[in-house]
Amino acid sequence: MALLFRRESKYTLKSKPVVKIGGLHKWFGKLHVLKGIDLSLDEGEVIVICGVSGSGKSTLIRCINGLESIDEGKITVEGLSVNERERKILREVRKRVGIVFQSFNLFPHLTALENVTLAPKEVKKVKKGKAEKEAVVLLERVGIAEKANSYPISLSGGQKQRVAIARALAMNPKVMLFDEPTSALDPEMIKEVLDVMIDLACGGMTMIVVTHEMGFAVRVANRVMLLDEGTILESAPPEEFFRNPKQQRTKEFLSHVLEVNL
Amino acid sequence: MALGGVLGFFIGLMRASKNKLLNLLSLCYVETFRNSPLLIQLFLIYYGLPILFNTDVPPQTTATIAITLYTAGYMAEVFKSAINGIAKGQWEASYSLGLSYTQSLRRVILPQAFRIAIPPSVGVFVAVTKDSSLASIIGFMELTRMAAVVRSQTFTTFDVLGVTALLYFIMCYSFSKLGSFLEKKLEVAEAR
Repeated sequence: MALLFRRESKYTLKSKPVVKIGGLHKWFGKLHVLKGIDLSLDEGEVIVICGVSGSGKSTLIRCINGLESIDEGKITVEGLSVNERERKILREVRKRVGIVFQSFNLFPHLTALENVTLAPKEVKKVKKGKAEKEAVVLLERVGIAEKANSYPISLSGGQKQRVAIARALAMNPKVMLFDEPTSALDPEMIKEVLDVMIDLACGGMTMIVVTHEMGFAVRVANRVMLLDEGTILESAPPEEFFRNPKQQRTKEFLSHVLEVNL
Repeated sequence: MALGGVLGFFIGLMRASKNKLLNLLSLCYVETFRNSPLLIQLFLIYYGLPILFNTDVPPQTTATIAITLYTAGYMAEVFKSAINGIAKGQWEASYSLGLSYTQSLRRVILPQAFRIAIPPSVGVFVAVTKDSSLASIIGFMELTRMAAVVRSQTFTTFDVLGVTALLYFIMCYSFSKLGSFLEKKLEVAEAR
């Protein structure tokens, strides 16, 4: 795998925003979770979002595929408005956006292969044989083709998460969202999932990744952002973000994270 | 009783839905039929239907209707809690893949909910099987009624009642066995 090199697309970005967020506000009851987020994600770009828990990271990416409603502001995915609560448009958005959850959320009553083929069969009406062929390719790509017929219960955390990534990829998404994909994993399994994600990024996938894996950020991110109390406090290319952050909060955050990572 | 299961399933879907009207309607249904005795429901239908439709309703029809409605009240709650018992993440994962509400329900939620629903369903079926003896009161020839007839003809009280009890036991026990069989089968499918 091309782990040692920063992916090339970083220097040959096509400037066509896939995701555009403008003035996004979100409240949970009285709690003001997101306080005016502006963000534009170009094709092939990888953004890593970090921040302490409760800073609104998950809420932000859940807004992008409409899992959370938008209270104020606007989000578009390839020109489609996520604000539309009309189900048809929301489904079109979701077909273009893959998401990987912290808690995997695999379907326990289906095998790994069936988990991957479900959406293409149901949503895109792909024939069973074709869907299965494609699913096998995807499972090979995430390195667990041999587990195709296993049920999630017999998979390790890392394997589950890789199936979840394959499941999201099966819909051929334009952008992939990762909501702390390695936070629920044992340390020895984190790498196998990160490797898959790095491979994806190198392949030119547009990604927003919420993670505390700073090694991942350094390697593949175009921009790293610190979300703090509902605002984007700092946004910079990784070299700058890690070497000389402008905000005091970023320095504090980095010292915490790096301490933990050591 | 099987009809009650089917009706209960649909009312259960309404109970679990987010639509307020459907929810309220189904809640009214459940509370009505769960909170009054089966015996009273039997009487109400037995005497009420002829008045409403001005025809005679045979005891069998009455019993079928009453037991269906009564079972449905309980089964609706069984299905509702089974559906609500599925982790929210399953809905989210399903929606995120672009599946609609109906597709999510059919492909992701219900297959899991059915398994959860088996043990409480067995409970309901066992209870209703035994409660069906109440239908003898309106003259429906069910097991208890039959036993009473045989008893009055043969004067063998304890033998007949004993056999009757045994027959009820066999019916109810089969439900339990069928339930645990289905549960095991579905579990094996998952754990393979």
